[in-house]
Amino acid sequence: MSYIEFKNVCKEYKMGEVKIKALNNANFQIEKGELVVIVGPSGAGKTTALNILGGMDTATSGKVIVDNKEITGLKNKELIQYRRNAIGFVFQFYNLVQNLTAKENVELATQICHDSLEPEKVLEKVGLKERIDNFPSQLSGGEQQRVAIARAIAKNPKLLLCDEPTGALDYKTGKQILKLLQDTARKENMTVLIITHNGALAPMADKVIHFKNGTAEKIEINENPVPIEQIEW
Amino acid sequence: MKKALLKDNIKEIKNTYKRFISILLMAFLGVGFFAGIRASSPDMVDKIDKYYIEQNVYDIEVISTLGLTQEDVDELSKIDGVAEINGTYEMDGEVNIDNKEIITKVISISDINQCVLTEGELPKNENECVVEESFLTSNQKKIGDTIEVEIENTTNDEGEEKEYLKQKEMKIVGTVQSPLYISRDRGSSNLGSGKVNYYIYISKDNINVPEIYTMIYLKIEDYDKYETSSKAYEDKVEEVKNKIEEIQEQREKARYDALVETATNKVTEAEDTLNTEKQEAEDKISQAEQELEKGKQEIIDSENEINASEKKANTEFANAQKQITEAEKTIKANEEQLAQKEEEANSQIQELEQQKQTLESQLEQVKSGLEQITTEYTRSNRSFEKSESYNRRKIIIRRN
Repeated sequence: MSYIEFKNVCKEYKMGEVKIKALNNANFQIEKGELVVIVGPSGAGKTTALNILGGMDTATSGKVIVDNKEITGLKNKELIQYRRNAIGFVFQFYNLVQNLTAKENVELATQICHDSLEPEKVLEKVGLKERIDNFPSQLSGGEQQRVAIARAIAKNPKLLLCDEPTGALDYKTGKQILKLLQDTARKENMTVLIITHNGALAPMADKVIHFKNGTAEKIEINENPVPIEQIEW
Repeated sequence: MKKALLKDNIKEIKNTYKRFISILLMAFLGVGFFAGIRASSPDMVDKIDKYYIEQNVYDIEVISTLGLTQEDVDELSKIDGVAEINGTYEMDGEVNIDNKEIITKVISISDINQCVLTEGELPKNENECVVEESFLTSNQKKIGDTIEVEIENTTNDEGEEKEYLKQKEMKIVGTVQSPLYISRDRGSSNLGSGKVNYYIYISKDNINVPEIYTMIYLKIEDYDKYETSSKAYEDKVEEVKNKIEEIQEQREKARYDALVETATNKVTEAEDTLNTEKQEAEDKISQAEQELEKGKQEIIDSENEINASEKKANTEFANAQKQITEAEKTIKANEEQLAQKEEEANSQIQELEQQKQTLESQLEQVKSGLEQITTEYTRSNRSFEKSESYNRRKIIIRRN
């Protein structure tokens, strides 16, 4: 049995009379420590799948199992605990707290979960040792995204979910970020899921999941992932 | 709360303190307003409760078209649940100030529904009254001024028409607030414009027909334990009211009967008087008739007498005529005699006249002689006086 299993997951949004199917019988498995890239056009259901996996949304039907735990049947309170302890989330637009410094932003995450890592060390790891007491407004986009990643990693989660982490960044910075994520997955043996619409990134992953019209249309297993430095797009 | 989250909150407040304070103030305002609204209703009830107890305001009022009597008061006070009872007088009156008709409710001062005295003092005797503050201000009157209150005459139980007040002219001695009129509305009247403008409180002593109350005010037992307008209070009042209504009909009949009886008695009395007086009058008439009869007889008698006297008089008259003729004859004879004697007297008078003339000439002679003597005397007297003065002078020298 795989570490993460997505079984016949459906998600419907009701807009009055109209029903929109965001996910339609999506199926995939992910093993522990894998770096997974999810690709697909807009509206294919990538983000919905990630949100359900991260416990931020619930499936209409189907099963999601993470580390032998079925999260589709969890109650709201259990879902909160799951989100706190098992998931690290990186957003496209960082979602940092503007009033807090980089360190405090990381602390905000570490203070609410159990076996968290030291904020300073994590920030050092992402290369922001010098900027530890700066506010988000004083950081560049790439630095901000690195703070966001540090915040996600510091929780020592089972899963690191990244929704378009490079979407708002330039090529070079984006590359740095992706390298950071790839390194994290390799060194910490963390399971990392990255959503991107950039098909060129596929070679860096252990597994590539192609989404189309709400289903995982194609799953490729990459026996020899390429380090990010070698990928050009 | 976790440290970082707390920090975030504090920083958020610091960065947006103006907004924070505004929202805080709004919240305070909202809370205060809400609390005020919630508290004011029970406060108002408490206040009116206290006021009603202090002013001893009535619970039930009884009025009647025929007026109410002490008997009614006695009967009502026997009813279970009635704690206090008081008969009062309330009439609509008219005050004329500067040719302006002012309709007032004239109320007697009593223990139930005590007024709040705002200025001056309560009326102590029949020529004093108190008014409400606005009466003074809107009519340019002040305490100590006199007003005249006109009230329609009334009839007492004996059916006599009487003035309602003993003293129409009263002095304003103070201002009050009546618990009967909490709102500005003073009710309606059948006088003037039909709207009562003010109330005036007067002393009970000024009521001219004190045996008829216009209203009876009742207080129920434990009135101070009920909350105004509460269900328990309404129920209790209703209960007492029902008991009063049980004796209502009986009291109405009693009052009606009493009035009718007085009236019937009066009629009977009047009939008696009529009968006795009629009898008397009849007696008098018959007596008078008798007298008349007697008088007639007297007239006849007198006529007879007159006739007899006339005859007698006629004969006497004839006799007298005869005597007169005789007497005339005698007079004529006497007249002739008189003329004769007159002639005689005249000749004597002539003789005496001649004698008088001789006497007068003699008197003339005497007078001239006397004159001569007087001149003679004067002359001799003068010479005497001369010699006399001469002598006196001589004497004076000698003395020196």
